[in-house]
Order: sequence, then C-alpha cells, then structure tokens
Amino acid sequence: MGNVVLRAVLIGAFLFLLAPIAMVVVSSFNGVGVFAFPPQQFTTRWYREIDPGYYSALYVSLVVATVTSIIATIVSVPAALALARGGFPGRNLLSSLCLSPLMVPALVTGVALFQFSLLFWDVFKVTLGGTITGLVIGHLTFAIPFGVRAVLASHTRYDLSIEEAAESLGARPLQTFFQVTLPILKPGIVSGAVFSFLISLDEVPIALFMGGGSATTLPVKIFTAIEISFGGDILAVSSIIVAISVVAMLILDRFVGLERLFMSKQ
Amino acid sequence: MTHLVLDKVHKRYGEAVAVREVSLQLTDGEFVTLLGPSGCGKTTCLRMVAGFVKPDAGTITIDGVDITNKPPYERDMGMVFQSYALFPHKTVAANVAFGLKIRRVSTAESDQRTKEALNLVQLEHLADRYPSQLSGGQRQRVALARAVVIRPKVLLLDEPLGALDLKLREELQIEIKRVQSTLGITTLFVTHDQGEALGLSDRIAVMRDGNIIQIDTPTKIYERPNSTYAANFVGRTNLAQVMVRKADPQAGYLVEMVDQPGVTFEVAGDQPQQFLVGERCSLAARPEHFDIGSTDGNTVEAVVTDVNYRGSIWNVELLAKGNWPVSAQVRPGGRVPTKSETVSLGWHPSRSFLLKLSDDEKI
Repeated sequence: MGNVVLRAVLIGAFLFLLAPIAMVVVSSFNGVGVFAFPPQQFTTRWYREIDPGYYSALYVSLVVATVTSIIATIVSVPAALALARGGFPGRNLLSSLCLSPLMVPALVTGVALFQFSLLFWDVFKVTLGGTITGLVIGHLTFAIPFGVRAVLASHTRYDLSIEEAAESLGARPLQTFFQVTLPILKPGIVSGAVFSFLISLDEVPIALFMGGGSATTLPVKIFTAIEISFGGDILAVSSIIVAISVVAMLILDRFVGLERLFMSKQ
Repeated sequence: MTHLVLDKVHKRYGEAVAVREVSLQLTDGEFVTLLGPSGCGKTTCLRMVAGFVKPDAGTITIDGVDITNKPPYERDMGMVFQSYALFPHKTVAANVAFGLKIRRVSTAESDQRTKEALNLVQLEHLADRYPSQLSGGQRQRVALARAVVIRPKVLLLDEPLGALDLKLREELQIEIKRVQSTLGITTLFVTHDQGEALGLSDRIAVMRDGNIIQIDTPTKIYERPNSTYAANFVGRTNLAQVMVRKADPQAGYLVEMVDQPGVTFEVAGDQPQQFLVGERCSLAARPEHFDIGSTDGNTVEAVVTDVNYRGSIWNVELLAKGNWPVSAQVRPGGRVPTKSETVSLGWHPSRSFLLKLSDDEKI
C-alpha cells in the first residue's frame, strides 16, 4: 500500500518536472499552431523555418561552452588538488573564495563583468564586450568553481597512500599524476566538465551583458526573440537544446554513471 | 645481499621529536619488526626508509650506498600499506604489473612475473577482477604481490594486518611469513600488535617515545625484557616490588618482598641488567609460568579472586601475600581452583626475571 503511494508520488513528481519539457518538444512538431492542444498535425515545418541566425547563435553557444569547459577543467584540477592537499596558510579562505561565485546572483556577476569589460577597454584598449573571449571569461567565473567543486567532491575519499604506493613502485611524480591520480579523479573531472558545458550552454544573464552582436548566444537570441514573437521555430530551437543536453547527460552516464556522480556529491 | 642500516636517524615535527637518533641494522633476508604503541615513531622510521619522510639528521644506507636523500621512486622498496592502497581503476593483474610497466620490463616477462607473484599469494584466479570486488584479505595479498614482484631490495610492511579481522589477520600472518621466507627478502615490519611481532620476526625492536628501547629475538624479548615497559607491552606480566638480598653471578639472585618482609624468592638465569645487593627492583613473571598448587621452587601463598574460562586455558586471578595481584593460568587437564580458595603458587626460579624500577615507580 505504502509502496503504491510512494510510486504515485514519484511518478507525479517526474511528470511535474518533465511535462513542460516534453510539451515543448511535442509542440515543436505541431502543425496547427504553437498553443493548440492536443497537438493535431505532425510537421517538421518549424525546424525547416528556423532562422539562420539561430544556427550561428547555436554555434557561438557551442564554441563558448566547449572552450569554457576545457579551460575550467584544466584550471580546476590543479586548483582542487591544491585546495584539498596544500598546507599553505589561508587555504580555507581561498577555498570559500573559490566557490563564492556560485553564491552570487548571475545578474550581479553579469553587471560586474560588464563594468570589468569597460575598465579593460580603458586600460588596455581591448574590447571584451560582444566577443567570444568576453563570454568565455564571463562563464569561467562559475565554470571554474563548478569544476573545482566536482573534483574536490571526488577527492574526499581519496587515499593518498595510493600515490605513495605508486612512487614506491618506481613511478616518478608525473607518471604518478597521469597514471594514478588523474584516472582516480576522472569521475569528478568529467562531471565538472560536462556540467560546466551545460551551464554555459543555457546561461542567460552573463551572456546578456558580455555578448551581443556576433557573440550572441542561443539562449540570449531566444530570449530577445520571444519579446517580439513566440512561434514554432523557437520551440524547435529549444528542442534542439534539449537534445544536446540529453546527449551530454548520456555521455556523462556512459563515462561516469549519473547515480554514482550524485551519490559522491557532498 | 641486502643490508639496510639506519644510523642515528632523527626526525622532529616542530617541537615534537618523532624519532630520536635511532640506529638499526637489518642483515640479508632478515625480518625485523618495529613494535610500539601509536606515536612511538615506528611508522615515521618506516616512512623514512621508504623515502616519504626526510630525516633531520642521520643516514640510511642500503649495501653501503647512502639513500638518505633519494626520492622514493629511486629506492627499490616494496611497500604494503594498512589501507591496501591498490589502484582502484586497475585490475588485480594490472596492479601487480604496475611496477614492472614503470620499469619497462617486456610484456612477456611482465606477464610471467605477474602470474608468478599472484601464484605466490594464491590469487591467480582473480587476476581480472577489480580491487573493489575483493575482500580485505585478498586485497592485501594483491598488495603484497605488487610489492614483491619488482624484486625490491627491502620489503616494508606498514601495519598491513591492521584493517583485517582476527581470523584473516592470523591467516595473512602465515601468508606474509611464507612469502617472505620463500623470497628471502629483507623485511621491515611495523605493528602495534605483539602477537604479530612475536610470530613473524627474526628480531623485534620495541619502541617508545622515538627510541628503540630493546632489540632482540622474540624469545629474548618475551622472556627477558629489559624494562617494565617492554615487559608490559609484550605479553602480560606480574610485577612485585622486591629488594635484592643476595647477588651471585652463578647462582643468581635472592630477593625479598618489600611489602612482606621475610618472604624471599630465588631468581635464576641471565638477567638483562646487573642488580646490586640492597637495590629495590621489580620481580616479574608471565602468567603461564606459575604453577598453582606447586610446592617446588619459589612458592607463595595466595587467595583465588577470580576464575575465567578462555577456551584453550583458564585465567586465574589471585592475590598473593604482600598484596601482590597475580594472573596465572591453568591448562586443560590441570586442577582448576575455586574462587576464595587459598592455594600455593609456585614457579621455577629461572622463569622469573628482574626489572629496574622506572622513574615513576621509584616515587
């Protein structure tokens, strides 16, 4: 009896979470009109009618997300190792400082970055606003803390004597790092990388302040387009983003296992 | 031919001295145990030999070559850790082969040696498993195979049995001894467990506060400890305060109980230290050396306060004359006394020994 109730609640919760997304995908194939329900005619028309501007925005988004994810991963592994193992003074302070961007509203970060880009131009005469570089810098402010967190989480149950064992067996520090440390931390590293990628992909406030012009990301493009008109093409574009996210999650599941990933989170 | 020498090795952590000018020599194929409670410096000693801790002073040499400042990966040591420290992302075979791969041993030879090493610890059938699929005892055997497959100069064992339960601990003790003597490998073993130390070692170094206070064979350590500390750390000891009345190099000593003047005992056999007539010291005897009801040798009257069955023996707690609490044992077949019974407690003079009073006992 209790089991049945529990199952019903679970199914209800899933419906609540997934129904809107499913509706977007279903509606994107609806030939009658965006808001007609139930959907009547199957069509791929909306996908064909997607404005080329969305594709270039998608391209910008993918480039920004990929570069952000790569840089964040390269930076966060040594940073997390230093924070987890280092015996330097002020380590705890640095640790919370490193994670603090996650606690600041993205809007505030966006304003701050905008200000930063103006200052940067004043001092170096280099434009960051409206460039992919600017977007990457903006997204790194949360991607790095995310990566650091993910690596730190997979480091909590790490046994340092495993590295000592490798060294006693003749492995030099670099060999130990690449053959022992990295493979053991891989789940955290991969999850940090994938999550950085996904968050960068659908981030709006920072991209709104730092982007624009040729550096308009897909979410920003959709956001601004909705203000003018809300049509099937936007649903189609959104469905494509859903597809990308699902693929990314599947990759994560294949390499790490989603369950294990969330279990290891502290 | 491996000869490991620690010469006046010293290590400080801030104000605290972890290891105090310890000197130790291991000859080829010898199994030496560092025995002591946590914080006595035994693990620090081992880690200095492994190269994970740099001594502040002193030298460590292998076959005359100074390795004090060599990094761990150039030392050729096989090390086994309490936490197993297996590579979780590698199979059992890959774990064992790791050191060979690093040494660029050819695949054919590496496969052959890995197989032999796994064979030695009787785990060849688990070669393709991952460490997480093994039991604690199996993991530690993999770790042992991984450590010896590189044919290290010295095998270092850091409390390898500490994480295992009693039965496995006994099984693995036998396993370690078998592997060690089969390979004839010089071994330094760290433990706080006297049973392991007595059972495995050629020699035991008893450590306290960063010093080696006694180093000798297990039998000597057990039968003639040179201090109250060593006597209490290795096995149980019954101590009584006595005064030396006669001292004769051949016949031994005659001692009188301090709390029961007139009651005297003879002490025969080698003593680790010299005692003078009139000196106060401790008379010590192991529980299994008493003979309840005996009238031979030394005897003292005692009242039974408690009797406990322990399976292989009976533990008998007594209070002897002069308020001397004594633990004795009765083996199966012997007469087990009843509580409150007054018995004669006897022991052979050579079964007891004398110990100098420690500083706090003198007060």
